[in-house]
Amino acid sequence: MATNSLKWLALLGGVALGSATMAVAQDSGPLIDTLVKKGILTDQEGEDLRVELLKDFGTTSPGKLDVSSAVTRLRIAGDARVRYQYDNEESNPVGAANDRDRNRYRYRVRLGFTADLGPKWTTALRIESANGATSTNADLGSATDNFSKDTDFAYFGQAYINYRDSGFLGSDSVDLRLGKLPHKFFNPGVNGFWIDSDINFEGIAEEIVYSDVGIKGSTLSMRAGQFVLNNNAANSGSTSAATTVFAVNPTTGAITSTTTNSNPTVDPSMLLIGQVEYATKKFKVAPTIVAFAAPSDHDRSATTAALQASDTSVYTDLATVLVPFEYTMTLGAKPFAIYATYGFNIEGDDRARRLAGGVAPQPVDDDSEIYNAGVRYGENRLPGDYQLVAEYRHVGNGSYSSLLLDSDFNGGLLNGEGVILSGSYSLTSAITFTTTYFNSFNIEQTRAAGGASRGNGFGKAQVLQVDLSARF
Amino acid sequence: MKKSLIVLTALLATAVTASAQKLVIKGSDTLGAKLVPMLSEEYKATHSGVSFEIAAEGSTTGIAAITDGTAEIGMSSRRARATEVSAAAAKGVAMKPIIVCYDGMAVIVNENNPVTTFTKRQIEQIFTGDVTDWSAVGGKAGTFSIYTRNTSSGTYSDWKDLAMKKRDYAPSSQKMAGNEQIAAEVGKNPNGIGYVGVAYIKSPGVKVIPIGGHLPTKDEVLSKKYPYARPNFYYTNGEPTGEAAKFIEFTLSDAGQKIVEKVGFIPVK
Repeated sequence: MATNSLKWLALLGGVALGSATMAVAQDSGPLIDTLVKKGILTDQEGEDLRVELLKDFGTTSPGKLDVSSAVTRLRIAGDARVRYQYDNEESNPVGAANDRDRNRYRYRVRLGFTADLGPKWTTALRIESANGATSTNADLGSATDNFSKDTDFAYFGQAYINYRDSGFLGSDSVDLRLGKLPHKFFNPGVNGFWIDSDINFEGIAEEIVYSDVGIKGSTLSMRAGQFVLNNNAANSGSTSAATTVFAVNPTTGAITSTTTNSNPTVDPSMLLIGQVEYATKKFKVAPTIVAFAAPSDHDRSATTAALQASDTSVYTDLATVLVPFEYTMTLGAKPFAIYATYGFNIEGDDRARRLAGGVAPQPVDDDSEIYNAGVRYGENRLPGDYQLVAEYRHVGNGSYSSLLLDSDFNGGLLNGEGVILSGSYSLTSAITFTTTYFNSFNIEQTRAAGGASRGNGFGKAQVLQVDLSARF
Repeated sequence: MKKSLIVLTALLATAVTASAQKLVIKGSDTLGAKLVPMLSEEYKATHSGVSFEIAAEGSTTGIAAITDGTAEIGMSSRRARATEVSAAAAKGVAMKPIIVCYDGMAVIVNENNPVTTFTKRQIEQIFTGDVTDWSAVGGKAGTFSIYTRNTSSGTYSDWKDLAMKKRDYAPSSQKMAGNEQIAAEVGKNPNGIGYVGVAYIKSPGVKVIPIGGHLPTKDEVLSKKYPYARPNFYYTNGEPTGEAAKFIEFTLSDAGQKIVEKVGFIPVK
């Protein structure tokens, strides 16, 4: 009896010292097996001890959580951010809408759940605090009553299924995502450049990766995305594009009419992205194409010719080739990166004219080029870490789509160029203080009258953001 | 009036006595298909008035029955999981394991199969679907017909833990209700392979294949040299009492352990 008590005392003492009951309980399995094999414990004593160690598991935090047996690993993570933002924006042309000078106090919360369902399948969802495609910020003080919650909502920002494997076409890894998903396209720039960092695409994304191609440690990644812009669900109820056919009865001479929708089929509008990335430990280059494959009338709920024309101008003539590049080195024990992207819209002249004046060609100084260039020094990982970034951007009036651009620079619109300066400091490994300044100017100074505001940038825009962010 | 009361009291007493003598045992098919019924028959021969209700639907059901209080004894061919022990504790149930015998999960193939030995790695490859043809493990060409237990079976999960590094079963594997069904299918199918408790290795048409030179014999299992050896359990809520305690005592007695050996399991002593 005394011997038994000593054995138990020794092992339970280990539990107490470990003070992490579940971890110790699970980790003790091999220890108990060894003690049994060596004859220090009998099999029955070993079993009693296992149960004793597990018994209190239910009183621990993980023991109170009941996770589906299908889940092999569950990760809960997110971030929260409070922001002061100052916007000073002048419209283009002067006097048009969007002249503003304002202070905003904002917050953002994102909470993600990722469940592994075995080694190859994962499903994930993320809850976000705003519904905008390019922003997850909610404004403080924006409600109709002080401190009310009527402008505070939670939305599903991501909801997708992910399949990972290897060996397909001799590859080292394959990643397939379906749903409302985070993308993997290489997109260097503050907040992302040609894809706003808040965008979660809707559709299918694929990635196939080969390792050690030419240089040891290198990767060749091929990525593609087929994203739905509009499923034309409004089409069935639309009468705006209806066609009426008149017929004369040859016997009676009576005239009858039949009205049909001229576009009864549902053609989803698509955004297509393809990218081939070659990366080593120091440099990365990724030729990319971004294109719309949209029916002529993208938004069937647009019920007037003017709205449809405006819509058409936004969703056609986009076939932009981009070449993002980044070179990283170490400078004074900190990472230092030079990055740049050059892009050209093959359909840029048509796009610029459409955006300036609708469907009919308009006189406009078309600019099909989009590019950025920046330097980044440092990183934010540990307390005391800092990062400094300086970047220049140019977004021509026919170069790209305002649906995808970083919304903080020039309002996320076309026809703008300028600089971004950003500095961040890590108070802890989870808390970061960041200040970012955006200053942009229009490139084409006066747009033709009637230009679609969705494409036209501000005359001038200055944005100052001061953020305190927490990662959890 | 007085007579009526006496009769009523007598009836109640009889009913209470009768219910107290019924022992409910639920759980593992490995234990519940042969061993426990034989033990109960022997026990009843010396304990008149005791009846048994035995349901052998898998170890998971046995452990759940102890947690839910729907059985006095839960049979299990695997250890209770951490979540099961903690769930029981949350309901005030103290899961108590009692080793009643040992088992070696034997790998069986059709008796006409030319294969004579397996390695642990080959077993993992076969049951996970890494290899699909007998020719990959030294047999005649032909696709494996893999027979496994169903998901509520303790043997099913123990096999994943011990033989498959916790990986998933091959999608082509077929789930059987019990050991006897697996043995029957393998006995009929020249390409069949499955695992059964040692009590079922003498089924017609099958042969046991050694793993790394080890067979599930008494010595190999007790010395833990056989890689797929495991204890089998009764689970109770705390220290057993009443008729359950007596039946467990009988199971562990010399007489009980002789029955264990007779059925084909390996006794605890």
